[in-house]
Amino acid sequence: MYIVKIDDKEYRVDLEKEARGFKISLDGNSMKVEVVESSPSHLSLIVKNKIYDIIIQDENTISVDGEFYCVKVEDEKLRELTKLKGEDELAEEVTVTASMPGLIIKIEVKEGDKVKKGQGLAIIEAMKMQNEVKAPKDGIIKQILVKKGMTVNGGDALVIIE
Amino acid sequence: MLKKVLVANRGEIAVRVLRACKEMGISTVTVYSEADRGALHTRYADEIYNIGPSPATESYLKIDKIIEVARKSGAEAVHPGYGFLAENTHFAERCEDEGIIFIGPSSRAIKLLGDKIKARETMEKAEIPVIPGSREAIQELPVSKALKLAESIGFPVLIKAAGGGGGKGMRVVRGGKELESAIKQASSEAKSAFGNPTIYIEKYLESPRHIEFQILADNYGNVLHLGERECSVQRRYQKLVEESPSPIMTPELRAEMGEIAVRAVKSSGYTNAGTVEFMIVGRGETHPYFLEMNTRLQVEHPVTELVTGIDIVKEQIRIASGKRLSIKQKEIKLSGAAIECRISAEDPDNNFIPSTGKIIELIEPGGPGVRIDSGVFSGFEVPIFYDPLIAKLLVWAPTREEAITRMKRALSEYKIIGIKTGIPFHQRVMESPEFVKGEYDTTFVAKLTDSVKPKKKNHTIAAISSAIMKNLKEEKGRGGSRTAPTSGYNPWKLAARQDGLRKK
Repeated sequence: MYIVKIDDKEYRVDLEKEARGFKISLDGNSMKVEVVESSPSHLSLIVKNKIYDIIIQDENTISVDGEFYCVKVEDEKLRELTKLKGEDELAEEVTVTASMPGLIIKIEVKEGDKVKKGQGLAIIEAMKMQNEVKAPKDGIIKQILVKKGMTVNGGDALVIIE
Repeated sequence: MLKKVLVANRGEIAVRVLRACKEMGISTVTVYSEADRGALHTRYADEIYNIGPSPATESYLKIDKIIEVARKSGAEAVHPGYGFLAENTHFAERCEDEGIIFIGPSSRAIKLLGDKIKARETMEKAEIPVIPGSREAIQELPVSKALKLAESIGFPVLIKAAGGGGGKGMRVVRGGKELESAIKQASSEAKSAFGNPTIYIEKYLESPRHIEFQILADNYGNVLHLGERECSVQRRYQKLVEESPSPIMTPELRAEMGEIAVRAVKSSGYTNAGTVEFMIVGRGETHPYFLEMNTRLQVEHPVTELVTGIDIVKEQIRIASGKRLSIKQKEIKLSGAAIECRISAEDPDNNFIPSTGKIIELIEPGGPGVRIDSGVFSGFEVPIFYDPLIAKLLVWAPTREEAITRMKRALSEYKIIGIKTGIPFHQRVMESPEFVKGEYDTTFVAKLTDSVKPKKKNHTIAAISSAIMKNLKEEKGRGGSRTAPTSGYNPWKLAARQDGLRKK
């Protein structure tokens, strides 16, 4: 069972593999879905004689016939687990990640520095845009994982604040 | 006619110029940086030269290297495209000194029109309406004098950099108290961005439309205008959607503005293709003000090509070859309606931050009335070093209504997988009642982001697909190493993204 969250609404989806696709149960309603996989990130779904073009942009973004959705998919069992241990971790330590791919052009803090929420940590530049990564909370810089001049991908860990 | 041309640019515009050369039987040379090894434009040229490391300052902006390639390859002319060296007086001068034809205006015209204070002066002399403002630089003036000047123009006023554009070194001032600090900030910003602290002051127009006229001028004093482009769909002074004709245009207004554009060109001794930009306030009130002149081929030139049937790049090459314009003003008729959407590698749902990476799959729309000028292909890694514009999607249709429905259809067919693009934003524009009615100005995008939420009707299919995607991924993962599940939604990440974005 998966729990899919789209725009604050949750859907419970259960799937069972079949010959050309899946038998799906969506919030208790069952249906047959045929899947044509043209590439790992491009699928076509055939549901009740209608075909839908699905593009998987990244883990949290998919498009259906050109409409984009921000999604969050969780395995029901994993969710229970993370709920149990996740919360106290969050309060202790935060890994600040790159908001976009680019070049680290400046690091504004050093390890051991006290930072305030909203304080600039590093500046990333890509495509003529500069983006300042800011501290998401008050704390002390535990570790800096990147150097000036390094290229990073969006989502890469930059700094750990505790 | 020219026999060999060097295209000193990259991306879609290099491809565009190379295509024109090929159709004219001209041999082509192009350049590429380290990051552009294998880029689309290198595949369309007859000869290619590596000009160095990926950052533009070490490759595409190196005048010496470009000149050296022209020499080595025996190219008689250089087409600079837009951006990079296209409006660089020194580059145009170097070409002139070296006897290489610069496909564009003379260095003198670039210099004159690149300095906005001088450009205003030239236009005023030719009795062209400019936005009321100062005739001189104001950064050195005593505050009391600057204040007097601002009061005589009337608040709100706009402080602008004489040497630049793109919103840098610009400040809106609504009252006398803010003036001094705004002058200081704008001047220092202008200095760091353009190496020139000169600023001036003009009347700030509330909610203007941005309408520009395409012009062509040969070396014998013949000047034509090819009608207008409406460019009011802008975000932070960057154009996103352009169309021709403008929804507010009338034959009388077009004739009036076209005549002004031609006069502006003649009074500045301008040759080749160029664009005269206007600001216009209110619908039906004919108060076009000269804003500035762009001394290059514009990103949005294909909009005009679609409604006039004139190939602007080929005309540029013919003019540079010393040919006379073969068309007369009265033969130029705008037919139907064209719209362009700029497709950039950026995330419209996340403050338009750049989105680089590999394009895993690319499916381009086609069918009647669709044109794509693209610089990418499936498998291409979009570099972090250059402008995020990767392609332009254009449609033409007999009427504006049909052009909008055609654009919606084309956007829905356009699939770019692997990076985020502005496609969802353009879908919102095409759905918005203001755009559909043609009632929009340069404040449109700021309002749009709050008001029009995309209409979505496939939530359940999205939910099913998400579960299937997760399941397929897990199936594949079972064969190899299992990676720790990452929680997709990260409030810290989101908070950090929403802060701190700024345009350099």
